[in-house]
Parts: sequence; structure tokens; C-alpha cells
Amino acid sequence: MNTTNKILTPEIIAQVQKATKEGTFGKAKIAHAKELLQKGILEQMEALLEQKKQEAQNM
Amino acid sequence: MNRESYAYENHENDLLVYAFESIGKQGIIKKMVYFQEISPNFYNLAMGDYLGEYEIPIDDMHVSDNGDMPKVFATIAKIIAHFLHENPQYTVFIEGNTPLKKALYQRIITNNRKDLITFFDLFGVDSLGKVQNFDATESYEALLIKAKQIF
Repeated sequence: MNTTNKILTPEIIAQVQKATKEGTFGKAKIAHAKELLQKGILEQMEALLEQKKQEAQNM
Repeated sequence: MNRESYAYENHENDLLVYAFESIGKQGIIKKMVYFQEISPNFYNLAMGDYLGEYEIPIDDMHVSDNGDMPKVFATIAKIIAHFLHENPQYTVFIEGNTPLKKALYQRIITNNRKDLITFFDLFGVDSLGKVQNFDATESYEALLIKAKQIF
């Protein structure tokens, strides 16, 4: 990783953060992700992780 | 991760924004990768080309065709790995905004899977919201990545 940023200047970071805050990009994806959250995707993922953990402990 | 990749930058006080330069047949294209909080510990991966001083800084609909896709994919995989290494409690949500982008993002994960599965758990989400362990032969609506827990 570079120690001196030539792309991510403070101006560009501020520009990206402003667009994010205002929902200029990623709006549809975030709305869909929230829909999927309502369908319990994180709980399903945690259940699969727990299953893996049990399997690892039983080996 | 041993695949050839670009050096990337991130803002030292803000690990949510990363950038790198893709160098190929279309010239030098600034690529931005941004992790957007959806809910606590749950982040959306947004990426696209930096458009300069335009009002919308990232065009995430654009496909650059710069002839360096494997290198770009490897770089994005490294950025995801860095983000999750720094934030092991987070889950990253990846979804393309077009069928082409969905397929591309899945290829990023599939092509770098051997490196990623050492440190991360990968999951696929189908259109009904059903989650399963990632299988490279399946097509998914979205992907979830989380740092591996040590048992």
C-alpha cells in the first residue's frame, strides 16, 4: 500500500463521502440488501458458520 | 494472495475508501472501491471508475474493458481481504447492479477463491434470499464474505 496517496486526495475522499451520504450511488443495492436482511440472510449465514464450527469440533 | 495485482491506496483515517489505477489498452483508469454501511457490521461493496470532478464521483455501471481484468479482480480481492482483516467482525455484501456485473463479481470471488477461503468464509445468496456455502458452479444474486472464526 502506498504511504502517499496520489488518487485518494482529501478532496476526492470528501466528494465520495458526500455522494455516499446523499445516496447518489449504491442506493438500489443498499435497498436490496436491506430487503435480504429482512429475509434473514445474516441469521442463515450465522447458522452455516455454527454448523462449520460443530463439524470442526467433531473432527 | 499471490496473483498479480495493482498497488492500492486507502485513506489512513477512513478504511472505507480504497483506490487503485488500472493500466491497460484504454489507458490509466482510476478505480474506486468503497464499503458502505448497510447496518451495523454489515457493509456493501461499491466499486467503479472515478469520473473526475463530476458531481457523481463513481460510475458503478461502467465496464472499462481495459484488458487487465484478472489483475483488477486480484486487486479487489486483496482490498476486500484488507478491509475484513482490519474489521473481522464485519460481513461484506457484494451484488452487481446488472446481470453482467453480478457475473463479474462472482468471477472475482471464484478466480481468487483459493486465496480467499484460507482467511474468509464465502456464501452465496439466491434470489429468494436463501444463503448457502459458496459454490463456484452456482449463480448467485449476491455474495457474503466474512473473516473466518478461529475455533
